[in-house]
Amino acid sequence: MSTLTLENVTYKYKNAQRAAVSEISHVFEEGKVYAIVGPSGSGKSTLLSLLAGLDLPTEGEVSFDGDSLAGLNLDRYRRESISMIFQAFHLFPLMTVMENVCFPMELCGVNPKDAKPRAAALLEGVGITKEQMGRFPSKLSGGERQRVAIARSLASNAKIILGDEPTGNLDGANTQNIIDILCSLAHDKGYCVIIVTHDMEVAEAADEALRMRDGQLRAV
Amino acid sequence: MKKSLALKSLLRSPMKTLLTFLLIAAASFALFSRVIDYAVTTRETENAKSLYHAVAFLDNEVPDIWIETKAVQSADGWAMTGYGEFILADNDRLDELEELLQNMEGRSVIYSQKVSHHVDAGGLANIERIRGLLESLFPIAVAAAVLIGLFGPLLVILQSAQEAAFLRILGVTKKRARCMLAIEQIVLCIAGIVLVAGGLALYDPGRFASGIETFAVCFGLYLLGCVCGAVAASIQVTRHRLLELLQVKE
Repeated sequence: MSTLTLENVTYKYKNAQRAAVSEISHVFEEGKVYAIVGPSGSGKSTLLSLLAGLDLPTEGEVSFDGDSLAGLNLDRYRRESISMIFQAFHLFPLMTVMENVCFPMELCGVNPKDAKPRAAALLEGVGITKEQMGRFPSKLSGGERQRVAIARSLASNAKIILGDEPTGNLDGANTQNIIDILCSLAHDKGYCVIIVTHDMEVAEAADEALRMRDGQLRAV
Repeated sequence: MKKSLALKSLLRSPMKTLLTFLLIAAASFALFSRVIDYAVTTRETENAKSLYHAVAFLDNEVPDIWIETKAVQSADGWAMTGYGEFILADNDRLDELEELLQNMEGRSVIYSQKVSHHVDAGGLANIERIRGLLESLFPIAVAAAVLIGLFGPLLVILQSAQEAAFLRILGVTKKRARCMLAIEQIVLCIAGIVLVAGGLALYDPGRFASGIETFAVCFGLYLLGCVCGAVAASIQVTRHRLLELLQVKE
């Protein structure tokens, strides 16, 4: 069972007066959706960076399945163990929907011929039609793009999905659709979904809502 | 697919690629045609310095130190005499020419023609003026070529910071992300140069052939600028805080 564990994690930016993240301890488990809410500047993005292995804590330890990230190859960790979705989707505009989903698989060494049917299955799973698979992301709506981004995040077989305001650009109906997909991934397929959000609808749908304030993480 | 990402992006963004390509090609064409002009004019100036007009008794054999361009033979079938125009084969042998012409003077009594020679001063002055202008433009043209080579890829790659950040988020190593970004621009640069070289060769094959060495030097400098710009920019864009680049600023 994949878990992400924070043990007394503190992160302080160079020349900063105070720590952006201060002595946080928490365990994120598979099969659950976590929502992290909080005002701007509270340390949410810094915490997400630490979970994604984009930075290492100045004090304490982030562990994945019991192994400290400090001892892991972080590029490989990001490639194989976690995936991220963003408010702005960040699909490659010059790749088709299908190619966008195949890309992380090929980075993991999957043969392109094997990647295609798997990508098609993932895209169908999030409601993207066969016809849309050959299109470029610019031809899709915001909700469809975010669903493609979710399919891409599933492509690498990573069991931890980190979301940075994934519903921030979406209308009510699409927000609910994305929440449903993420909850189903956690509850039915055992993914650990950690979402940083301002959206209370997402926080309410999560299994565990956490609030960041002044670098501290508290249960809501 | 990961290996061909750079090439794919060139093919998939035809307008951006075409515009960048045409911009680089047009700038390069303008600059390199000046470079070729410089090289050719320099050579022509050297030739002009060797162009003499002489009235001389021309023996059966044209002396090996000149290349005859014009000769008026005598009507009575005598050995060639009269007005001759020629280019000195080797400028360094000017003294030898003068000595030869002096010796000829004694042999041209039949027609009482005076042997003389002079440098085509008017033509030479014109060419010298053009050459002076091109000479002052030459380093500017080369510097501009290098700067275009440097800043073109630099600016394009700096605009791709988000793409680079997302590649890193997907687990692409820094080194590979840098290669992907830099290769795209270097391919574009080389393609532009090939187009320019082809264009110049078709436009004026003779001139192009004459200036090929200078062209090759400038091509090398231009490519060097492009490689430096692409490498510096790709290093710069992979140094950012990744998450900040990918977040929507509100």
